Amino acid sequence: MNDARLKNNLVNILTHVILIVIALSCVFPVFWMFSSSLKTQEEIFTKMNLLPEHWNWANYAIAWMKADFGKYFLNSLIYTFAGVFGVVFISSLAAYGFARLEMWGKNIFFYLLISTLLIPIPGVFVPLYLLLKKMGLLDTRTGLILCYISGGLAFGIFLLRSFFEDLPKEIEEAARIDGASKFGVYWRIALPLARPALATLVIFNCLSIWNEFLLALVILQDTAKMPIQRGLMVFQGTHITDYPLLMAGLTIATIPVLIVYLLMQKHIIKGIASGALKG
Amino acid sequence: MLRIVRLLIACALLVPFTSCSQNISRKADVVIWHWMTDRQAAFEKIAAQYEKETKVSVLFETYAPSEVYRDKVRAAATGKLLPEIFSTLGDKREVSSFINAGYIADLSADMQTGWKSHLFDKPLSQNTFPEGNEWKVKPGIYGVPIDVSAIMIYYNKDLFKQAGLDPKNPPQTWEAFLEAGRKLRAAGIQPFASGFSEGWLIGVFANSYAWNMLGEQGILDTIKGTIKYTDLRWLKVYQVFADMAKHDMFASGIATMVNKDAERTFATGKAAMALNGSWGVNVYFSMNPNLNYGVMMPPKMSLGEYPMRIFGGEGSSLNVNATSPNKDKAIAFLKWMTAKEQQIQLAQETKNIPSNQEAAGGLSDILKIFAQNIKNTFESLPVSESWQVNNVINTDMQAIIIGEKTIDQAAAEIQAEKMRQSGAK
Repeated sequence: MNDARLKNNLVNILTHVILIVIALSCVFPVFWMFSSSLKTQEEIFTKMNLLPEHWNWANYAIAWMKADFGKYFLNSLIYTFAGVFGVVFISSLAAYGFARLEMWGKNIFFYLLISTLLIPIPGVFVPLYLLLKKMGLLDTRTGLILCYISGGLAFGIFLLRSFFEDLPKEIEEAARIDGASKFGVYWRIALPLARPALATLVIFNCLSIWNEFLLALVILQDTAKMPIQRGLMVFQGTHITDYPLLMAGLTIATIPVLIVYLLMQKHIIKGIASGALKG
Repeated sequence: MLRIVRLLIACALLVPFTSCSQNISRKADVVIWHWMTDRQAAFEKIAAQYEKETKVSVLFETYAPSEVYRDKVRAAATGKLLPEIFSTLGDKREVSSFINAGYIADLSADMQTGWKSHLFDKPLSQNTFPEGNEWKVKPGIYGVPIDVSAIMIYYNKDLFKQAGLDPKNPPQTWEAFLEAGRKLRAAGIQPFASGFSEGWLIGVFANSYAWNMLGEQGILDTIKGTIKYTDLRWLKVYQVFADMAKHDMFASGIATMVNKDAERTFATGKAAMALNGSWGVNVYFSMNPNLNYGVMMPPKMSLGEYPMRIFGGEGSSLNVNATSPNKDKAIAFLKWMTAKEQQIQLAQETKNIPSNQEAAGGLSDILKIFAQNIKNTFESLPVSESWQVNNVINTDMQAIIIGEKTIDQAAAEIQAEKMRQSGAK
């Protein structure tokens, strides 16, 4: 009995040690980013200390002013908010349609849509640019948001369709008997039940739109409309990178994503867990 | 509460849509797209000065990284939305496609008005398409260099002293270079670092020795196919890397080292020598202002019949949009920007070599050495080797460094690729 308990304890300790090491390896880059944001450029390259010799909090103020973060921050908030809303709304509608409605060629359309995930963004720069030009949407926030929405739809539909397919049909049928329309069933029954999957979709799209930069750089000409990543590029020259300011900027840019993640954490875990159970 | 949230969502969605009907409006008389974000402040200063003097507004817009800048320029060209001044950031083949499509203006006539005589010849020749060029471009000058660069070997004077070497007399010959490497290694110092995982940099080093062993005609004959890559002189070029590997000269992991890592290795005193461009002066200053270093030419091989050449010439060059209604204003601005006073100002602020040779007098000692060696940079050739062959050269040199291939194996592979590409043509 004692042997079994000892063995159990050893396994527990070993598991925790492994998990702590993995957790530390995940946290270390964030710690390094924060620590470097308070150092001087010279200190980063010539001294290998983990903590800064002098804590240069002024780096944050300098980074904020120099990169014009105030302006870019607001832009990124708009793009992320509108982009995520668009992706979630349209992909949930489409996914529900793919899961529940019967129509000719449904699967062909679905796989055609999913196959767009294989196309890398740089591969569509020129056609996208020309399309937006023809639509008069080049160098506009609308144009960029539409690109973000269309870029996120395939994955969103793929993710949500499987959730909707697994929802018990009986609940929806009961709602129909109670007089709900097809849209009513989607809006009042299916969508609330898919909350864990929606949370996962929100997080994924928040991250990808907040961190996106290449598309914005190609589509936008006016620097006043650029997202926050443009601000970070100010510190990253062709030959010289101002690491302390870049790290301060990165820390600032990470905060909103961190907040969204913390708010959605509960739902994401639920979403991942329910996804795992399905497999 | 739910209604308020809905209202807020609707309002947020309306904000971006307010820009829906906007067209791209002219933001300044001359709009310039550049890729060096770290020069934005210096450029803005220059632009403000020009507007004050001439009432012509100039706007510099910088977009980094350079790969995305290139995509942006290509997309804008396709959409006929190029700014007045830009750069393709491509090789001659790519520049020629822009010229042949009518996007880049021929500046030859403007250059003849005395503009040309102030600029360094080499970077200008890199912007020139000679008679009979393989890209079928009408002969002329199509770009303006705004600064120049060269690639040489930096050496750490303190580490040289520590290894018993004379920092005032860096090695001039290949044998002395290898001997210096041996002494440095014996003193526990890594002799040589460079971003050799980046194919272009290993190619630059190999090319210096190709010019040394074969000269211009030999290189042209190789491109034409009359000299093979298995020729004894080419084997000597590959031998450079084998010799350095044999003498343990390379810093640890050099074949996978990117140039930013190599710069950090040299700046922090972890390697005594580094092959790097003149921009390194600015980079090393930002990393370690107290670094005590000098620069030298890559040492000549004893069997090398031709003068040693280095990679360099144009640092960054700009092209004028031939279709812009403000083309003349753009050319006038570039003339003004490359004049002595503005070039001195830019060189001081960006710690680079100016393209105007009259402005090179006030440079730091190290940059002066680079400027003096601009004349020793590779000549601009009317033809170029295919990128596939260059790729094989670069990867095979990496393979030699890590001992994966012998020089004979590398030579055979490069020649085989050459034959394949010649056949493909």
